[in-house]
Amino acid sequence: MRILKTILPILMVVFMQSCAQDAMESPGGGSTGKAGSLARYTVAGPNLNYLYSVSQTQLFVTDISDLSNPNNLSTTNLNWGGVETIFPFQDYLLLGTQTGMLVYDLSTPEQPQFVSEFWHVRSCDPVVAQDSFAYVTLRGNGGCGGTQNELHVLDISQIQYPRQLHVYQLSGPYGLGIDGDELFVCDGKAGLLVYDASNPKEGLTLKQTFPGINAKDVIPYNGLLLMIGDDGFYQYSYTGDKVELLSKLEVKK
Amino acid sequence: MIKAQNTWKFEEETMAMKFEKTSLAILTVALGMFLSGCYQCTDTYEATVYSPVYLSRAELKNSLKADEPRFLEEPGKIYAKDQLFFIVEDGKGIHIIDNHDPSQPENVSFIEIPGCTEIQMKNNALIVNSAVDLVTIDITDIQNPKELGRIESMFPFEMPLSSSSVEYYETPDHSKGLVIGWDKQVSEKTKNCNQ
Repeated sequence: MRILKTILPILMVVFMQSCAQDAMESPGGGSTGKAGSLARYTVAGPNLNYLYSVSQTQLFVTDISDLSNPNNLSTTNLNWGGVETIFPFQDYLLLGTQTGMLVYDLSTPEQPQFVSEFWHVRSCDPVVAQDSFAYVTLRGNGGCGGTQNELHVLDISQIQYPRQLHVYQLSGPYGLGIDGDELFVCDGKAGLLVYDASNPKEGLTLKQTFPGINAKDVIPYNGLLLMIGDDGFYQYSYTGDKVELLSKLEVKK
Repeated sequence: MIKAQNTWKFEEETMAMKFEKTSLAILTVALGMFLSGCYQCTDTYEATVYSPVYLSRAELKNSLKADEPRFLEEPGKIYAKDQLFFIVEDGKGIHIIDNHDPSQPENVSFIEIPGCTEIQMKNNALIVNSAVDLVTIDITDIQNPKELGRIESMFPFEMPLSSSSVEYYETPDHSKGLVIGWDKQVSEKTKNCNQ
């Protein structure tokens, strides 16, 4: 009984510690944080020993087991142009490109293998994913080409065959983030959008909007929404029913 | 005699009529051209043109520098780890924000990294780009960052800035050095009205 009394609180603390951080921890002792959806780099693989990075046309694998001696392991020509973003998802990499989403398999970490592609019209598009769904924003203006400004919901339960489920019209979206039932979308000059994503198969419901900001990217991080806009760094809490502004760090005027 | 005069009058009228007819014809063609868009209509507008800023390979090698915190100017990519938050100052370096109290984030430091546009982390190290190089930086002591490792010329081309939805980039001339940033200039461009 006494042993239980001692062990139980210890177990609880250990449990809470590992749940408290959204940072990835590897049993080998490596830890990483969380990037925005516009990132071109990600750290993944066993012991977080691999850096995956994308240029416009290539995927690089870099060995970072020894951080003072990084070295390149492989370069994959993607046979696609306009590659812009990278998102680690389970044992895969989801790449956002100007003409679609590419899926690569990381079962052999040094040699990513092409799995599938979901094509879309020409646009800039970051992608994030959770459970069996991927979320992609398409922005058509500026240097991306195309004219579509949309949010796509994809079913990736069978990742070899991504299927489009829903399309929502937006103004000019940039980055996005998903955590639990909440999807956050930076819709450029239209501001920050908050969607209920509890049932992506059925669809998304717009819950809240924060207009008047030129929102660019977000990181949902343990109930804290970290957002960068052209005019500053905004932080919101999303632990309650409503998303609430906590602070703002302004850009020099 | 009268007959001759009549004939002459008739000829005169015909010529006047011909002139009218020709003028009318010309006007019609002109109107047609205008309506069909052969008429040159141009719009002038402002476009942002980006031209490269260069640094030599030798200068890039020792260019990492810890600095006083500075204002955000052109925020780029973002990153969160534990209680720190990082914002790339597009092409210039990284702002380090102490975020242990999210209602009062503190901008505590800046690391100058020429040509930086990307950020990741493993353990206590930043993994960033500096022009075409990949660089790892130990920030166990965030006021004293230390370069750990570098892969020179890892990337074939410089990564675009976050504000990459620009209309015009000047093509870099790599004989001038490595591109570490882009200078913005707003200039006037013209285009056809229907474009």
